[in-house]
Amino acid sequence: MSILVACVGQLLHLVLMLAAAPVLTGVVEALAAWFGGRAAPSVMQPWWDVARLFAKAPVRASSASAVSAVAPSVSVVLAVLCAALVSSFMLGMALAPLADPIVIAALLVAMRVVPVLAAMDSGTAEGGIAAAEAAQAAVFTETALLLALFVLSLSGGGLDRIVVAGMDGTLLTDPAAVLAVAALALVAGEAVVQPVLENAYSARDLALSRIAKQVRLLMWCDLVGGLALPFGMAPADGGPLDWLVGLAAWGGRVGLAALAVAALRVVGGARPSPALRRLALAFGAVSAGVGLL
Amino acid sequence: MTDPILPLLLGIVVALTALGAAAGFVARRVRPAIGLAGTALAGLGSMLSLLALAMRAEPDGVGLPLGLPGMALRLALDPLAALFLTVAFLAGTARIAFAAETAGAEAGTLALRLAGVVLTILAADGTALTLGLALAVGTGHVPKSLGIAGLGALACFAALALVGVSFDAVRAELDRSWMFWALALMGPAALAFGAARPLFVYLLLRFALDLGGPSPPVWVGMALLAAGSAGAMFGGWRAATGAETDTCLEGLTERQSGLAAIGVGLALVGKAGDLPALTTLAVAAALFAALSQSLSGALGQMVAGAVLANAGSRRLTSLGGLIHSMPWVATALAAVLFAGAVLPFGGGFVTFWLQLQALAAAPRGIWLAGVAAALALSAVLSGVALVRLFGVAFLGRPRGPRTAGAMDIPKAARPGPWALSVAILAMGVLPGPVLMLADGAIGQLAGVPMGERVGWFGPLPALPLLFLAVVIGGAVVWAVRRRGGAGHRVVPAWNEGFAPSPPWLPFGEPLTQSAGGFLPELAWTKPRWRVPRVAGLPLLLAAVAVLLAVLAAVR
Repeated sequence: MSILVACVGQLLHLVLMLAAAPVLTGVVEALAAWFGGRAAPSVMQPWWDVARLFAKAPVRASSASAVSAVAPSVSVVLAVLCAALVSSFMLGMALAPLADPIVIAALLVAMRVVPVLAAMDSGTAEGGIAAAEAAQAAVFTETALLLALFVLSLSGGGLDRIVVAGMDGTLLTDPAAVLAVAALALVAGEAVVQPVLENAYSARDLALSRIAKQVRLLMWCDLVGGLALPFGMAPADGGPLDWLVGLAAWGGRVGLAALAVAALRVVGGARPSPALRRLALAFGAVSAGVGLL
Repeated sequence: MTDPILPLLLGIVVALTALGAAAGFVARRVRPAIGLAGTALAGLGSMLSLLALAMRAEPDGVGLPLGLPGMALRLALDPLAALFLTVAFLAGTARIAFAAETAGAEAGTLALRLAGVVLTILAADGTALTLGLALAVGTGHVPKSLGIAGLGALACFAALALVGVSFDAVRAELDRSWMFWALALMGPAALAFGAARPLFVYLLLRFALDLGGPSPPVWVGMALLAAGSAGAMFGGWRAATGAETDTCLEGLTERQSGLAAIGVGLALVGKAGDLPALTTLAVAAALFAALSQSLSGALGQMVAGAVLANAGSRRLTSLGGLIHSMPWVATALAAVLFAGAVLPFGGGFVTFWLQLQALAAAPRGIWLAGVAAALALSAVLSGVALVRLFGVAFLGRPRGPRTAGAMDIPKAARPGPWALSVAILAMGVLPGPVLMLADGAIGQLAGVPMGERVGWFGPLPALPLLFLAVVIGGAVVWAVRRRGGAGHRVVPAWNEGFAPSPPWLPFGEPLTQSAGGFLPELAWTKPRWRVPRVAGLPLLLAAVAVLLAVLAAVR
């Protein structure tokens, strides 16, 4: 029975992720427009854009190789795989035993590598420059990401157990874990503001790249939200009422995250500031220092 | 069952040596036969050692009535030796087969080198070790700093031959002198700067964990952790910033040597503190890093050689777009880089994961945070190296006529790189079976094997995740086929409105294809010494002869 519940929960989570991802992006864009004093587009705009682009045949550069043809699909696979592992409204989903923090870190690193390779594929100036910039940023943010998730994994066990520790308050008594969650939040802030390298894409490829980007944004909100504000998440053996509470709490968390992302975009501009990266690395390094002392 | 394996392996060593020595004198038309014979011998060797490994053969030793008076050669085959022999023979088979089809003269040298490597791994006393090392290092791919480092290593091991003649005698001793530890660290360290990085890791494991006794001093582990962290970081940095393909690939193997050294250091800390869980995980991480390094290092050297021969340059800024003209080489390089980086389903990720598990099991201390930071930074740098090396040299447009007209490796030369690529990728997807094969060696070095923790699906969930990824990928492909726009159009690349290049720049304005701006190169990580290739073998053999004569006189 519990296996069935875990599988149903996992499926519901996955459907929720795929359906809510474009809407979340729409909400963030609408909020950013509203904060900036502009007329806001519909929250469904990203949905319509993706649907329209997906039905069109892409245009590819003659100098490009198979790398840019498969890159958008690979990005979607990585984003959906990662989103499937990070719990949203309930604990004890069917894939929870696979949700190792280090595995999630590697998936997040891969999600950055794939678009950079595709950007370099057609041999244009902008792609090369963007790839070099992404490499420079990676030295700060990805090191922070790996360190933060390693510190969180120190208590042993998967992501679920860390979230449980957050729910019963033991996470708060561990300064290293608090610092690691802060580092993770900064990395997430940098990642969601980072413009995705999609100049090489058009039509169907662009649609796939955008789906990956939207799912990644929601996954980041789930990951950081679940670690920072795990309240209300349905326990593994919860009933329908727990699930409803969990869904409501998840909606609240994602709403708060949308506000934060929109504010970050309005305050910080379209590109992440280098200070954010350095701060993330500093938090990650200090959390490792405290956690391993 | 072991009994016939060791004599057969010895026969292969003798045959490979004879083959390598003969290759220099035979007529050109006989050389393909030498390559074929070398491939067959090395392939036989890999099967024999795999058999010894899979059957969990009992350790076996043999004394040869050879050598100087009172210094008969002793050889032994134990699980650690069988593991490294399997990988050495596998890499050697692929390299000799590849060399025979691309550059016939080199197959002989490679056979000689493989004989040296095998002798080193089988050695059970200082004399056999020194002889094997002389052969392996002297005929090796000559790096920039071989001469000095190789001589230093040989001197150290020759001195070891004086200190403790047989490994069994060393094991029987209760206490290890500081002299032993100095030699055990300095000898392999000298090799690490030279050519034989896989041998460096093997010797480190052999000396520090097998011969080092049950309770090594803590400072040895700490020294190795510091050196390994530095090696992993600076190797990663060199891989991410090198100007030439060789430098980048060498940086990657340097990084993996550093990772293995970190593993050995953690294992020593675990032994010193009597923490078997830490020791087992750390040894597993070190072995995985070493195996991955041996295979990807061999494949990397093949790729670098093919790029230099067929595309005419080592410099990244002279290459570009090679994925179109050299798809086989591009695939092999992608396998090497993927296995080196910390990406899901790659061998590099398995090493990283095992190492973090070991760190989590280690006694807390601020030094641990330093190691964790070094591991994380080095992992990120390996990703940058992947993007930069593959992106600049193999993606984009060709930067010159020689690159545009590059030819792929000939059909007959493809099986070697292909087999190694498959082996490297399989290591990342199936870490459990690889660790199962290595469990004998883990038990030998750590005292406690991994046992139940490894299996087809353990210790980390690579296979279930890959299955999930394939299912999601299938869904994406289905959606694209069903609903996506059909086909695609191919047009010239949009270059931000840059004007079409003039006729005198057939490969486009060079400025429109960026190759720089990644990370700054550290000036002092560049290699400084260059030793002419011809000087290598005679110099080292002469040094060994002198040292052995001195030893014989001292006795």
